[in-house]
Amino acid sequence: MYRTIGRRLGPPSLLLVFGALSLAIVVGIGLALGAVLQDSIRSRAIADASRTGEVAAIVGVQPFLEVADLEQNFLPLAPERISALDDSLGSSLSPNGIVRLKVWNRQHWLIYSDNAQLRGRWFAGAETLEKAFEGELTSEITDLTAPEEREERDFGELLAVYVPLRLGLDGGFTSGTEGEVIGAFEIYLPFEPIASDIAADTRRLGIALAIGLAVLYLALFRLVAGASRRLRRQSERNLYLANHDSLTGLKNRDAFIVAVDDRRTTSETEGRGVDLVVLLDLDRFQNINDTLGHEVGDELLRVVGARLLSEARSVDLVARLGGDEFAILLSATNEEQGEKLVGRFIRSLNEPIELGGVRLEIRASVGVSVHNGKLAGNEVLQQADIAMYAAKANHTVIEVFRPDLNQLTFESLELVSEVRSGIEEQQFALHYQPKYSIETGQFNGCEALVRWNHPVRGFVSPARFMPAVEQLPIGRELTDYILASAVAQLRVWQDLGFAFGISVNLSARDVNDPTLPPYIDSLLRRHDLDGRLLTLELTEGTVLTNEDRTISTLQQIRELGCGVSIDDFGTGYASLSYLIRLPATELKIDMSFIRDLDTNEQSRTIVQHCVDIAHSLGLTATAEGIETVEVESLLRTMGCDTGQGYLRSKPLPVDDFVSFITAQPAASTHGQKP
Amino acid sequence: MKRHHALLLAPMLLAASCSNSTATSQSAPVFALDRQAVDGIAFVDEERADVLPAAVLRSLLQDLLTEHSELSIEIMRQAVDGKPLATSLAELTTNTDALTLAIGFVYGPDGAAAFDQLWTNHIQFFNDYASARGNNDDAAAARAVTELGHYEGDFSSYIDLATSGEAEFHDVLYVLHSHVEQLLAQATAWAAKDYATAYQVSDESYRHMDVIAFALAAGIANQQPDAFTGDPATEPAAACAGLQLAGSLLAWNRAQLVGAQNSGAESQIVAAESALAALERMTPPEVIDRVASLDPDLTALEKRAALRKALALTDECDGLVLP
Repeated sequence: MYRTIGRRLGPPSLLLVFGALSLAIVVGIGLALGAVLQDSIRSRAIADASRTGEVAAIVGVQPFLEVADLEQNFLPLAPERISALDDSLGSSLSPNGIVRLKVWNRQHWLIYSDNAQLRGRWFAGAETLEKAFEGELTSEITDLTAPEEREERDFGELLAVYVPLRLGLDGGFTSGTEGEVIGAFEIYLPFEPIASDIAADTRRLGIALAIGLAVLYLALFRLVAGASRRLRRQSERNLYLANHDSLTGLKNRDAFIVAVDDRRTTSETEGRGVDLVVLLDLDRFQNINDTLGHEVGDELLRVVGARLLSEARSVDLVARLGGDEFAILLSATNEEQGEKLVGRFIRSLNEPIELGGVRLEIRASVGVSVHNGKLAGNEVLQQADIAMYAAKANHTVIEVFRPDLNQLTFESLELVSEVRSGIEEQQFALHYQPKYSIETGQFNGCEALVRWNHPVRGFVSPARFMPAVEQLPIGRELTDYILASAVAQLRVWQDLGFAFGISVNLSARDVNDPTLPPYIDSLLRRHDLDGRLLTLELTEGTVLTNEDRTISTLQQIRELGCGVSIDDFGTGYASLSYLIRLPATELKIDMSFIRDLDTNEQSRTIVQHCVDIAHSLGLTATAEGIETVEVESLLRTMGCDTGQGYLRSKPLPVDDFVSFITAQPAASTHGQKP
Repeated sequence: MKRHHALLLAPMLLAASCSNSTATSQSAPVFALDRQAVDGIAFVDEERADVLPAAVLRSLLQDLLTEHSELSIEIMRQAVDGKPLATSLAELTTNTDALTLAIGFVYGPDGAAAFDQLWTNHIQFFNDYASARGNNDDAAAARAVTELGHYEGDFSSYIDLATSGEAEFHDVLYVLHSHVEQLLAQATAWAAKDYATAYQVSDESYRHMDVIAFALAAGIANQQPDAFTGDPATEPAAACAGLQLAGSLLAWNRAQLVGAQNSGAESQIVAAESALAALERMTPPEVIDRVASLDPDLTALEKRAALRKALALTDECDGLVLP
């Protein structure tokens, strides 16, 4: 029953806990303060009473004593002296509130008391008596246990006041604080009136204290209640932010993974239908951000999120995982229905989006993972991620995760993760493939090609990691590394007297990066090199991704004096009008046309056109992939300017390359300048 | 008779009635007694026909108790110093016999026997403590202190029971505890060769015996008004007690000085001289004169008789004749 009630009530609220704790603290403080103040009141009341007793002793008793009385040891005072004191003091004690009087000398003899039993007797006395002998006015609420106090027990609770009895300079008693202490009065006052005063003062103070603390507590509680409300709202807000994407209002990655985990539990327990995790990554979103600005990019993400949400049923969950990645958790009765549902989401993005006066065609790569209830949320998401990468790499729009996909893509992802350490540990090396004049056969340059000597995997082909690397920021780091290595090598060769240049490949991400031209400039300056020695190659497909940005970057590169080469020309779909706008210096005809040049008429036609186009635009025509003398001969006939291929040399490590060049006729080592 | 006092008294009564062996610090209290046996003991000797002034009882008790204190302290000092105890111990035994006789006079043979056992035991505990201090045996000293704590409770119960509560348990315990503390403190100081403190505490212990004597005498006199007449606090009883106390204390201090001189220890001599001088400053001159005439070589018992004679107590106290 208690558990039921506990569940119903839930944990106590923070405010309730604070209320209870602060109440306990305030009550504790109140009690402590009360105790301190009561002690203070008591001490003051006792001190006041002690002073009253002191005055009574000095004024009412001392004048009737003689110094000789204090010198009486062992024996009682003479009967006539006792009678005299009885007569003098008998009537003055009660009016002064004294219920018992004892006069001690320093040797602990009780020389006089109004109690005849005590006169002339010796007692050890209390510690407070010793303090009085040391000159201190002391008092105590006596427990009446000492033998000399036996007769006082009938008086009830008593305050014993010990007053030093001093000898003045004139040989008589003095009431001042100076002078030798030769004895002490011990005066007993009834404690009951003092206790009543203490109780009354304590009561008054207690009430004031209680009211004060109650007001303080209420004020404090009200203050904290307000703060608690604000805190709760902030907490709710934080909870919302922790689970939602602030840009689109959709659930975020963490919330999505939790939902997938929850769905796994549900699937396990209820075993109904299939659950699909769908990952959508917008194609070329970075280009939109770069060209139209982040505000447009953000708005686009909002629109995409809204469209996806509009397609979602109540059982579906749409989330933005970050960047341009969206995820959907779908429940379907079977895989067919799931396929249809995924199709609906993809189609919802088909309608162009107009933002800032620009009509944007949105395409997405989609990865789907079937959630079988056996994997954790992040694992299912990882599978969908792999499928999405496969779709992106294969240009298939959508891929459903399957184990072989996993194997391949995992390897590439693993490789990508190792690129940085590869750079740091100088596992990447450049090989150089010579370029030469088809007309004269003289070497006039080379193309730098990256090779990865992996410490575990051995030689790793660029085809296994470059496609993935080029899509990620690490790709730029690798490009920088290659550029730096190539330019440094140029400096070395220049110093050796080799006058040819080097071509380096760039990715689409590189040419859209506005920091690339300044970086190249800094490299050239650092090594004091003429920009004409460096040519940057980019594929025809690359230049088509973001025409304006690409042209701008290439122009900046050209302004540094560097050459710009359109690689793999003939495989893309660049229009001539676009080609004209490119600040290129070289067209490299794709090797797929070159390899069968001697056997394929169509290839010959295409290559001839390419050479003609290059020349008509004032560009150098270069053929790569020349493997036979026949092909080289045909290219010479066609007027192709530069060649590159295994016929002359495969890509060589730097030392072999230098040996190769050195072995050429002398004129070759001083090839024409680009 | 108060029942709880009867129960507290039980162990020592049993010890008193069942054992004649000499007490040692190892003796264990026996907490079992047939209550009827306690009730059956007639403390008040109904047949006694003598009538005494209460002041005489006080004087007698003070005389014997101060002597007890003096001899106990002497024996403890000898134990600390590792000296033979023979003479003083014999005197202390005589003192105990005299006290037992006095108690028997009031409470008859059963009361006297219980008293004798308790008293003999506590002397042994003091002696054990002093020996332990002399041997630097803290464990044995602690055992003796524990036994003395038992003794305080037992003896207080005995007196409370015997006086039918006229000398109430806690009052007796209070004064008895002070006595034990003083004797232990002087022995500790003596073992530390702090003779000044030893003499000072010993003097206080001596004077404190009057407090005990008065409490006992008053309690007994209140309990048996037909047997003890008068008030031990009033004149001339008070003057008698004061003179007796001053004289015997001074005589003892003189004896202590002689003892110190015989020991040859300079610091002990200086302390004894200082203590004697301080005492003489507070002692009535006539007492000083009369004590000076006493032979310092007298035994304690001889000294007591000689002192009473020298102080002419029988005259000054107006018929307070000791039994």
